[in-house]
Amino acid sequence: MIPALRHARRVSRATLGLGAVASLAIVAHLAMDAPAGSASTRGQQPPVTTPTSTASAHPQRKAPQRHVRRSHTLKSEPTAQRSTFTPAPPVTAPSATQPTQAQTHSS
Amino acid sequence: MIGSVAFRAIGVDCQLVATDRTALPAARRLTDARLGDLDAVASRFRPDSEVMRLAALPAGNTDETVTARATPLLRSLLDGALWAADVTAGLVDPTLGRAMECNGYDADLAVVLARAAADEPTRRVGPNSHPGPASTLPQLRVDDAAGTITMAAGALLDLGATAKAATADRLAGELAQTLPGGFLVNLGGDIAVAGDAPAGGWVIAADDENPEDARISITCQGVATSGTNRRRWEAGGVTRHHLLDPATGYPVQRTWLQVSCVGASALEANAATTAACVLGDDATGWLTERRIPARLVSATGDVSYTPGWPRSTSSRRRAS
Repeated sequence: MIPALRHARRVSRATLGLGAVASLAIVAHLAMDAPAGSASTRGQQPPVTTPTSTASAHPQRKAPQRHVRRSHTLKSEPTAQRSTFTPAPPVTAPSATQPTQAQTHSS
Repeated sequence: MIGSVAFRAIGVDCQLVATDRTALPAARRLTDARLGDLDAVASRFRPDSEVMRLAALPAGNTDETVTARATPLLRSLLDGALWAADVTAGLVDPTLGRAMECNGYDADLAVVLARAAADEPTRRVGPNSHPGPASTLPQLRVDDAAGTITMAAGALLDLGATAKAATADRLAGELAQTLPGGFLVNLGGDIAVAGDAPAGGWVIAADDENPEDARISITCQGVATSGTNRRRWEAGGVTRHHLLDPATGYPVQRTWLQVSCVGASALEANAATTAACVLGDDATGWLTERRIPARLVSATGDVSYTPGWPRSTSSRRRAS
């Protein structure tokens, strides 16, 4: 009985181990295949510059690398806010001698 | 040598600054072209604009929505607007065009002000007028793969809150990629910079009447300001402004005279300032929670700051 039980336990552990490896492999595969607009990244960053028009996109301009959301449904999921503000680098106070280049104002 | 040019476009004061002034003429040409594109797509005051044409389409779906092809520019602007709506939980809402009309803002502000000065009633505004269903945000979707948008039939998109900022961001980036030096693009107070900053950074003033603690230096951030101190008009015997509460369609009752925010981009800064104005008294806590540096001016002129907005040495000394 005891050898048989040990054998059964070894088989169970091996099966669990294989299952875990397979699960990890599947997760890794899905992660690699996930498109930019997949739910895992959706809404985590603000939209990025896309061509301002079909006619006006400058040919030298690099394609945006950050994720651009592809479809949206808002308020139908009021508690499912997905986006966050991106932390901005700190701003500083200019010296008194630095000239003002621009003014921000309500438009 | 830094060069700068100020001009009026898309109904607001604009400014272009270049660290290499020889790049300004080419930069201005590109800016004019991009702002022309923006106006053709997003203007509520041009019957031939894309948003006006979409607003005239009849419902084509069973749920009283319409699905129509949209230009890449409109879809990208809506992408920014929907991001702003999402990150602010609907405080920034691009579907309030009809509500804005019902509040009397149905033409260029100069026309609206002239109409009020002449005591000329508008078509839609009266003491009993109601903006009606304010937000149709749940129906608004963008499908880039199909090249379409879906929106409530008859809804009028108002991208005034985010389109200028998004355009400033992409225009600054485009200028820096195609021309020498660094650039600052200011579209009605929505400011984006790209490329090499001048020594000490780009210095931005948030208040010309009270400059102390209103000047900041940025190198890559966006800055925006929203408020009720400029865009106000009389309609139906009531003073109104353009910052609408999406829940009611009416101008926010208790709000700030002016809110300036710093963000990772002009779009992010603008989303924060617009939301802050809608939130009113709750804005300071909301901005602080999100670690957004801000300067807020109340209706009585009192100034508040959130952490991260730099204070001048003299004011800190005076406060202590």
